[in-house]
Amino acid sequence: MSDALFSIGDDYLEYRRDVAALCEKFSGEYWRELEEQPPSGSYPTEFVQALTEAGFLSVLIPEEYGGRGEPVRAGAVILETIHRSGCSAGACHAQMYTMGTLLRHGNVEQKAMYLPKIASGELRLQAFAVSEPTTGSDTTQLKTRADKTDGGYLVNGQKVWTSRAAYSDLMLLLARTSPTDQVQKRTDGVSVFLVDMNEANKNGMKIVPIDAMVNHNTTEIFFDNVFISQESLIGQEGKGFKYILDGMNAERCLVSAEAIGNARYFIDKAVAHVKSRRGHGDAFGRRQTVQTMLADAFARLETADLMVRRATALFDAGLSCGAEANMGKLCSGEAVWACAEACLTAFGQEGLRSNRDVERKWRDSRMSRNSPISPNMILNFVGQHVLGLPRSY
Amino acid sequence: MANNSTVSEIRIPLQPEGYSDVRSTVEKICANFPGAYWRTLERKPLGERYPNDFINALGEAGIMGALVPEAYGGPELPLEAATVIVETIHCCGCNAAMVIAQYHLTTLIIEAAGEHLKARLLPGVAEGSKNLQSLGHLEDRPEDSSAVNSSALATMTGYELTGSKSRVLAAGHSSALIVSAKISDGDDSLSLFVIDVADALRNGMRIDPLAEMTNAGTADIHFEALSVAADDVIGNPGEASSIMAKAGTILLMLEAAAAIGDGRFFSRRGVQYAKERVVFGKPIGTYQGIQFPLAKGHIEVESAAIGLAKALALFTAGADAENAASVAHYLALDAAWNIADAAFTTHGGFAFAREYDIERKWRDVRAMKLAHVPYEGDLTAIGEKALGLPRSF
Repeated sequence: MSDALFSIGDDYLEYRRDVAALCEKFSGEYWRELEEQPPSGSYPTEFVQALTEAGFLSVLIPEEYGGRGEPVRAGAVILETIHRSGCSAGACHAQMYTMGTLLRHGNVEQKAMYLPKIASGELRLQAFAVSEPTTGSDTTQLKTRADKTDGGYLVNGQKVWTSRAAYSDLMLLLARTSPTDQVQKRTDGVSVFLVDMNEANKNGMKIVPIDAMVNHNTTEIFFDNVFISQESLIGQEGKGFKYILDGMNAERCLVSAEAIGNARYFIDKAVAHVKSRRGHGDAFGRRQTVQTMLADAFARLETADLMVRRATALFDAGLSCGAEANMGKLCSGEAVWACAEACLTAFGQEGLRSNRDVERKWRDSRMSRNSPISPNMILNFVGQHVLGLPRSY
Repeated sequence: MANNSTVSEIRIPLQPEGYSDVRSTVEKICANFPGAYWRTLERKPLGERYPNDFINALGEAGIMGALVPEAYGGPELPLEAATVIVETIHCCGCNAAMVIAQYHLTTLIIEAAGEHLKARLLPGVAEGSKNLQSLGHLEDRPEDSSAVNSSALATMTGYELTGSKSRVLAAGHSSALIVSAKISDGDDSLSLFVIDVADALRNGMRIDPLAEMTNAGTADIHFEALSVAADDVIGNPGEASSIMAKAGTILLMLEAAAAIGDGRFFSRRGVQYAKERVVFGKPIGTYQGIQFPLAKGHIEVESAAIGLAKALALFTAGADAENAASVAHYLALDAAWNIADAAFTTHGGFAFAREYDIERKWRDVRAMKLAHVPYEGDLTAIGEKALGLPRSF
């Protein structure tokens, strides 16, 4: 595969054009008003509906199930464009990568039952319940249990930082099916379930919104003897960790593309501002400190973009991409933050004014440095698995 | 020249393995020039520090003439191969300053010089018998580096050159020297003159070798009414700036390649030492304080390498590569310096011990951030040309 190539220019021009046109209808005002809704922001229903109707959210679903069968790179371009246009795909991006777990590891019946409805927008698959209050990056130690019972499982435990749970019809749930002391490998004993949220809501599941700095509709979920059917198990029991790992690489590529989109939004916005804004007799942009700050951020953005493209192309070619997906995630997180800081600094106190949209995007971008993986875990991965240093944690 | 729509079609290799034969040839040569060679060279008397044996070995293998067209007896390798050579030399712990200079000036001659100069210089470069590494462009201690005082007085047979040039690389070791000067009674524009060094040393040119922090083989050069034939001007009189600008993009890519090679040298050496050195009962690479800066540095170096691949792809396609080259140059130097410092910290006190070669390469990287295009120069170029901001200096 050493002769495989990847694009360095504007690929998927039609998606870039069409998504940008759609986003024009959802201005900063739309997003600001959503943030004002109690308890801590509201779901962008109209925006998600428009994306769904245009088919953008289902491009990664195979054609036989009603999607377009595109590679992950196409999804990345769509998400990047959404963010570059000042909108946010946070409310709906999970569908692209959680769907992959169902697609790659679900059985024929599960795929036939759900994928066409996800593609048409009839069902939302936006929630992915992994993190727990006492189990963050150390995923294999999760404590939420799914115990075998007649016809299915009983779930007990708690999840946290499950975004969009209240707005999703389906949720991927990672839960322990064998105790940690009864498995041979640390990664064994956890399973993936596709949970019907309407059923679970009636059977003891409770969703509590978390009041957070960014409007990602994130929640805590409590499970008290929640029954889920045998048919909700994805793949083989006890092998769930493996199933979500490849989905995580796709997720890292996709959310990195969002960070790239945000970074380009900040550069566009800051450059326009410093060209027109004058002080002390000249355009801000003529000041070397302003200019070098933006140039430095832009340079980091450019190479982060290339690393993300490379990781995504490796994923799409079916090649190993763990190192690149992690490195792209770290680079894009740092690049977007450099661009966000440069933009806020370029605007000065004006940037704090909500109707400039700078502060909202700046808050959003801070997420890229923590989520969905800690930068320290990325450095652990590269140190141990790329450089061959001893495990440090 | 590629237009924007074809730029979107340009792809770069997913897993670059190009010119592996060139790489292994260079590696074999470098193996004969270990750290001890370079350390000894640095301690020789001033004026005797030029790496003669190394350059001769590269010359005999055809490496020094890699870019010379077939018509002049060279292999006419593309620029990408030249960057692989430079990167490999630095990755092996050697120094390619003279190689970069030779490729830069060879390109300048190929692109801009008349047939008589090409025929005089290029065949010797191709067979390794002629060095083309000295460029006199900076003035001796001027108040303003953009002010050039060297002048060429037009005579019946050509010009008489008077003035001084500072920090000329390989002075006294290069067969030819290229000098920029104003033609007296002309306008302020600069012209490029080719000087035969052996002749000039007999006719009023003086070389004063410089003691510097790194062994850059630099010297100050003074001319007193040195005769230059009318034919020995590159291009037309007054064209120096445009000729230099064009070759400047190539120089950026070559220097970026050197920095990436340095980054890989420090990554390898830092990791190796972190695995071997045991403190507090464990290899120090186990500690995140040591491991993370190395992991971070590795990520930065490999990102910059993709940045360079993009610039080369644009250049090869005949598109404008200047912005991409500036981005790659800036981040390659940034990455090399960060990982050089991380490897320095990893080695602790032993970093200061000359036998480890860490301090020598560390000094080299810091010096490279100052020349030829300083690191800060990249930022003003990106600000002006990539972001479209006003000139800031």
